[in-house]
Amino acid sequence: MIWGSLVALGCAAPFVVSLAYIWVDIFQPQSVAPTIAAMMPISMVTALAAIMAYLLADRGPPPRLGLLTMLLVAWAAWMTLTTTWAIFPDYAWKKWDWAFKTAAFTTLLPFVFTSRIRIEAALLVFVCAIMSNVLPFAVKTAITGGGYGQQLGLVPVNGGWGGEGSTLSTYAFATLPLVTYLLHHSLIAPGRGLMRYAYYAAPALAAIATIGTFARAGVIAGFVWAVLAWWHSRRKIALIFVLLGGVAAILPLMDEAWTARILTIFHARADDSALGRILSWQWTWDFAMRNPGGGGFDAYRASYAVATRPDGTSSRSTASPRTTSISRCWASRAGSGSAFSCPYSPSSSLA
Amino acid sequence: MIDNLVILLMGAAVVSVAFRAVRMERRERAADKAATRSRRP
Repeated sequence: MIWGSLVALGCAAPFVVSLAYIWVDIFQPQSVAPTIAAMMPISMVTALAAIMAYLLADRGPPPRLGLLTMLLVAWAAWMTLTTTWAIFPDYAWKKWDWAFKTAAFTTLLPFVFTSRIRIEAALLVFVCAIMSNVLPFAVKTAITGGGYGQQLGLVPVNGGWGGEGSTLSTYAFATLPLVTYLLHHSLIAPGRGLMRYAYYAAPALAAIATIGTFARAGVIAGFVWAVLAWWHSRRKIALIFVLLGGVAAILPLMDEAWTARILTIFHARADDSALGRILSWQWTWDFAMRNPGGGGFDAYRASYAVATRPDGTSSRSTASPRTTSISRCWASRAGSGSAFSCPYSPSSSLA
Repeated sequence: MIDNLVILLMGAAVVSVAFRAVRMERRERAADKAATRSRRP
């Protein structure tokens, strides 16, 4: 219905079809209602409609070729190049298929969103699409208290980028600077009357949704946002009191499971999930140093942990160190010979 | 039910943003045209 309304409005003003594409790209209705995906490839249809609308009905004088456009073109070319020498070509070309199209379409956006009103409309649609995923998390957390790995959003936990707690809580806070800008400068939805309270509610919604996900990434993102908001604020003393008051009000309401999980931020090496990430980052850094040309999409699949259990048996998994020792290995495609080797071994003892 | 309400609410927000943007752009264009006309000798 929403998509249909936007496309119908696009008949009167072609740039609205590009707004529809932004909404489809961020909100992903095909993940929320899989029947839509079964009916038609909504993302591709909207992208084609947006391109046609621009070419046939909205073509004005093109903007100057800016640095951003050139970087986007270079990025699309680079991702194509690295896919040609990808470690896992099958996986890489599959991801390239949508990543390249997204990057290519993004280069069209500066041609469509040429005025202040259009750019602001794009920002508002972006924020609304993000908040469509954040709001259910916040409401359900307020009702149920949330929990790690629980489905609180519109999509299953790993059913799209709106379902995974760490990702959602991080982008909930990352969107707040945009919300602040819109609060002070929006012409389409000015921060007056009821709209002002809607803008003011955004940080609270982000915080409640983050609490509900039990995501440490969200807490770190919230801390970074709070520091930046304080840095840019004109009323620094008042904001310190507001932020500290908010934290002091929230902390006593948290149950022990939440506090215990968040406190593992300070003991990352003792926590399985956090250690897995640190090891993945180490592997990624090392891989990038050894392969400046990259390994193509899904190169992370070459990263895995060989875990040895106390009884001497071992298993291979992607950075899942629930055992006494871990050796980092990666797949080596040197020649056509053996599939795997372990050319370096920053072994970590968890004992 | 919460999910459906959120989808409806945010969907209405998106459509109303698009609608207002179209209306404001038209007003802006009309104002520009009027200004151009009034500048003509």
